[in-house]
Amino acid sequence: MKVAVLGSGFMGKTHAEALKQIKNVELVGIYTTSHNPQSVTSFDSPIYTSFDKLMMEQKPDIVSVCLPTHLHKQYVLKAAELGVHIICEKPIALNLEDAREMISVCEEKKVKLFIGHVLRFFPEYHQLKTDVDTGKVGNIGVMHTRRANDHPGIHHKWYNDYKKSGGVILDLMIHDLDFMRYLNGEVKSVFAMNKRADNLDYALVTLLFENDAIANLEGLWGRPGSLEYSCEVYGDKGVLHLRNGKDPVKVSLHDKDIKTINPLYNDPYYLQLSHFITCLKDNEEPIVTTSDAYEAAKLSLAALKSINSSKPVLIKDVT
Amino acid sequence: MKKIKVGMISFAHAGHPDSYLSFLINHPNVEIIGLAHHDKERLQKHLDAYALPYYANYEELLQTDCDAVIICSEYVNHAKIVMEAAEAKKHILCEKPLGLSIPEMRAMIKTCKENNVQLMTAFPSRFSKPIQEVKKMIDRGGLGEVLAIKGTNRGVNPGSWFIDPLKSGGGALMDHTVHVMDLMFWLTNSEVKDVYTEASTKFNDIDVEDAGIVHVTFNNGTIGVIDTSWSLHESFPRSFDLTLQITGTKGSIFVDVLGQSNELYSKETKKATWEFWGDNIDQYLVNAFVHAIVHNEQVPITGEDGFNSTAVALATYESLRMKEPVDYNSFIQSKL
Repeated sequence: MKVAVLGSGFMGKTHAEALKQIKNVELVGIYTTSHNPQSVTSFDSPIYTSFDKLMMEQKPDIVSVCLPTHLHKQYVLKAAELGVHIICEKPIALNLEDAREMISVCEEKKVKLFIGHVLRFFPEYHQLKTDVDTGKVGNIGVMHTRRANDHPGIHHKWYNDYKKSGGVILDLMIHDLDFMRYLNGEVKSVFAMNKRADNLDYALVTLLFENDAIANLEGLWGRPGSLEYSCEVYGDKGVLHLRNGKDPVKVSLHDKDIKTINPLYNDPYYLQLSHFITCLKDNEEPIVTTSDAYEAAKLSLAALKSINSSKPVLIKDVT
Repeated sequence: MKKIKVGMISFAHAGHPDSYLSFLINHPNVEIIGLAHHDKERLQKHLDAYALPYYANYEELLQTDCDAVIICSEYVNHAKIVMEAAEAKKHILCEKPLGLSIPEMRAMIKTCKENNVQLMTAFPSRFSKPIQEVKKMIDRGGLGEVLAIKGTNRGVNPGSWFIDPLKSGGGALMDHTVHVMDLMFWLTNSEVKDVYTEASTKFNDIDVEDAGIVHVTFNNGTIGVIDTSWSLHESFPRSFDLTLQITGTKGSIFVDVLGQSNELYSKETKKATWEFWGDNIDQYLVNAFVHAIVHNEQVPITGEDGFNSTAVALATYESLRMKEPVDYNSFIQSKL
């Protein structure tokens, strides 16, 4: 299976790294729009600054779209036209019209489209999902999530253009929005609040589910320090708490340059990409479908709509 | 040093009056003149331990020459007892929520003012040392502009009269909005602009809501959200929590008021328990009340403070009915 990665930013490198670990996968090329193509030379794969040339010369079976969000549609459609299967980073698109077009063109051209909602492949989230599904907490009443990171726009200017990135809700909180729906089903309405300042985008989003459970999600771009995330599930039979920083190895070194220890063999991106490739080979439905990705984008857009109107938004009214 | 005479009215609230009494009894400036509660058995251990006079009717206690009373009745009785106490010229420390309607709370405040007595609302969380430090940090600009506060005040289903809306005024929203709300008012130093709420009954087979999420916006632009749910049960290592996640332009603070605890794993209870070892905030609440009365100073948490956060709790129900945000001031005006 020949795979090409489109994009050489953080996600592009992460995908390239993970793809190299997958059996029977050949990383045939990396397309970069960057002015510094040297940043991806360590992958021993040809680097292209022309998408067309990459596709013509390498004829990949799959492309992995790790370009800025506003470019997702353009490159998904280009790849679909060439009959190439597609893995695309989340969010699927910046609006539902684009998302629908991407999904229907891929169906028409008979190519698979997988959207990288990677949170479903994080072992701690997978365990939480398993516990919920096996009834460990009973019926869910209230859930909370928090995801806080530094502002990506400090290092990558395109994130600062909220028309291109969608801001903290569409880019970051969408992980948790998808996961909440994965855990507890369809959402009836969304109420959201947002505060922005220099290098800071903060959102509080409340979901009311069809089954009357409630979730409150917190998203922050602009946290000093590293990524912080948590998920709490309160059910009528139990409570589940997930939070990061539970590493089994605690290292304290004077030399700050030494990298921290990774306590897992299986990187979530590796698990996700292997799953997509297996689904493609065996023609099976993935854990996260295009419809899931579409609904996650819809929840994000409902939140943005609620922020604009200062009113709750019914999901059925979001098109 | 001057001593004040204090009476305690109603022990309907499980725990708080007992805790207040334990600190009052040893207070150098306090003489407890008696305890009033309809059910003598509920008080027996205190009556035995401290040899205190018992009053079956609080009206009799109000006829004594005590200077102040502490009221921990069912919420529905707060207004009646507070006003009678005010007319009997007693200073008052009243449990939260202050009252169950806008007009009755206005009347409570007015009656106290007319009778020249002080009315303090019991929000002990303000006296938490961690919260005091957070307040200082915010006030000196350490967080920059406060953009948002996410708070939780979750607990187990309190059962008893707390789940009878005729006595409690509601469920988890009425019971648990006010503590965090009071802290938000205090920390932001701003007025609430509007209130939006989602609620349902998900954890218990009861007639009132036990799941509640309350959104507020403040006039200064700060946004906030509170989880008021009775979402904990006996398996959880503690019976309630109070946390704040505060986001400012210069950084953020997370404070867990009960975070100072050890972990106990017990064969007896077959569960883990978080054994709290931080300062007891009830002691500092009681001390602040006594200090204000002894020195004839303004109480640190007034009836107005009690009114403000309870008005938010009442507005949550209006928001549920309207299915949209409720303008805080218009809501109050519409009830007067």
